[in-house]
Amino acid sequence: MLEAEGLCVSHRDRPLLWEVDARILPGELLMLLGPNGAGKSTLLKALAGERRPDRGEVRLERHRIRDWPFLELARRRAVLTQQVQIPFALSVTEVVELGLTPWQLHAPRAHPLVESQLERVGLTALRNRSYLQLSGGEQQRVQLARVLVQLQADEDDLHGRYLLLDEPLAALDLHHQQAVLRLLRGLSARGLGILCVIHDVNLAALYGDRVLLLEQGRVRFDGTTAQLHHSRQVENIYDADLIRLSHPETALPQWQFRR
Amino acid sequence: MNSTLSLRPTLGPGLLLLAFISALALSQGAYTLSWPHLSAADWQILLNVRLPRLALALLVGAGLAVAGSVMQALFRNPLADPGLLGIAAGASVAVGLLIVVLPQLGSVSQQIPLWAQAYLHSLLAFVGALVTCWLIFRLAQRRGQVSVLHLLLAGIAINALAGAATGLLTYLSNDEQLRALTFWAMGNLGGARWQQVAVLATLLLPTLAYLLRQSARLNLLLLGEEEARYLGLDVERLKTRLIAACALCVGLCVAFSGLIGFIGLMVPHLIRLLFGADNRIVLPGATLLGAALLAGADTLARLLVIPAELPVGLVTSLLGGPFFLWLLFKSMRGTL
Repeated sequence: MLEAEGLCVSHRDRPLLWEVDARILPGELLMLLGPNGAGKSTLLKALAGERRPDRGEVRLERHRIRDWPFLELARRRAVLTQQVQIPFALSVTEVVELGLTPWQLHAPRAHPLVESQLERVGLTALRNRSYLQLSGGEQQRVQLARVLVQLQADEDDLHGRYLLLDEPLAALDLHHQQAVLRLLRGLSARGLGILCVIHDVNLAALYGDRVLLLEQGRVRFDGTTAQLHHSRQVENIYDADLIRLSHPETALPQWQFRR
Repeated sequence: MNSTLSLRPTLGPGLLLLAFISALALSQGAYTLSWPHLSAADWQILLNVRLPRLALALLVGAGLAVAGSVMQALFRNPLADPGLLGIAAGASVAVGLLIVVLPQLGSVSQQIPLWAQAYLHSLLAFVGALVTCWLIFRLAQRRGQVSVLHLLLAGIAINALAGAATGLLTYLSNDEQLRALTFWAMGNLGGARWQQVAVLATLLLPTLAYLLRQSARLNLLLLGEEEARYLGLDVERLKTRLIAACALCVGLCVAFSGLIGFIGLMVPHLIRLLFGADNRIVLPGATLLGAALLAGADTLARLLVIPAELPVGLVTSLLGGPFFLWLLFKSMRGTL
């Protein structure tokens, strides 16, 4: 379990997170929602061990995250940040191979792994292309393949591994949004614990196992997606004029704008 | 990721080029060798003049090119170059100080053997380069990202400061020191002696070996420092070591050959253009091409105005200046 307890983070006296509790369980897809500036990325960075909290503690499998050796941590959790810029013309394959860094793999084993992850994100045809020549959405998928390689280098069991994603859908078209969300569900079914920062409440409710709703650095809702039916937090927090519906096939809550 | 260097693509063409240029450098010059029946004087010229000079050119060229490659990965910027950023100038102020101050100590300086003087020069140049490197890093870093603009502006400022400091030194020096200072500042490989080459090799070769072994980690830095940390890299420690090693490389090159610009900019860029941006290929490739390019430029410098010779720094600047402008145009159009 990757968990945060009583996290407080501030930047120049401005509180970004206040007494935040969060946990990611193995095999769970947790959607992190909230308006702009709610502290979603800050929480993700704190859970990743990158941002030192002022108060509170982040623990991975009951050990404080800052006590984990760098390399061991990199084998347990991977992080996909927003829009990774690379100023040099590395090829798609070379970027994805960087995900193998924490592991000592030899070419016969590494090559098929990289190939299979490229196929999963639908980039096999672009494998020799320069990263600089790709569109934003394609770059995003290359980076996704890189973190998938990082977590799946040694075995198929993903229990005890965690993936943190910061708006992985931002640059993707509808087809690829669905493909990535289905991919994430498939990975969580194999035991991977996933935290996904996402803007679209409908996609969060439809694909997530659980939803964490942040507003101004505080947790406003933490529960299963079905429980969102009994809460008015989405309407309140986003302060938008919305109609609540049920998804026709799954009965999960969905929202639409009122004109 | 496989952490070993990838020599395959660059080794063949690199060695071929190196052999060709070395042969040219040894056989051509103001003094004509009576090939193939060499006299004693010919051997003297070959072994004690041209060979040490070639060795110095190869070492300095490789050092500057590798330092440039590493700094470009470190700053995540293809325009980073030890000369443009003022690191070489920082080292040169320290060495200039030594050139002017040491003779004024009088008889003490006469008793210092050549090799010890060489080590002293190296040490000071290293300190000068290290201080400048640190300054540049502090000035150019904005929220964990290094901005191109701040990097180059910091370089301009430091180059101007160093220029002023060197100018001040010329006022303090006598005619002989002035000549030494001016020639050295323009970049010069002439008068290389085996003792100096040996001192340089003992310090530079281990540094180059260390930097080449970091090639795979440099690839991680291309992703960004945060991403590199997520992949298990101790970024702060690596950065500190890389900066120190780069400063040593640049400092050594400046101490032994003065200011030779643009090698660190041109060479890595050419290698990336030909063989891709993977640093496991770029670093060994830059070692070979850097050595070859400087040896070639030095041969040109010796041949162009026989019986005199040009400072080699002039030749590399003549090649590198237009190259830099072309790079700037390219990066402004966003195709870099």
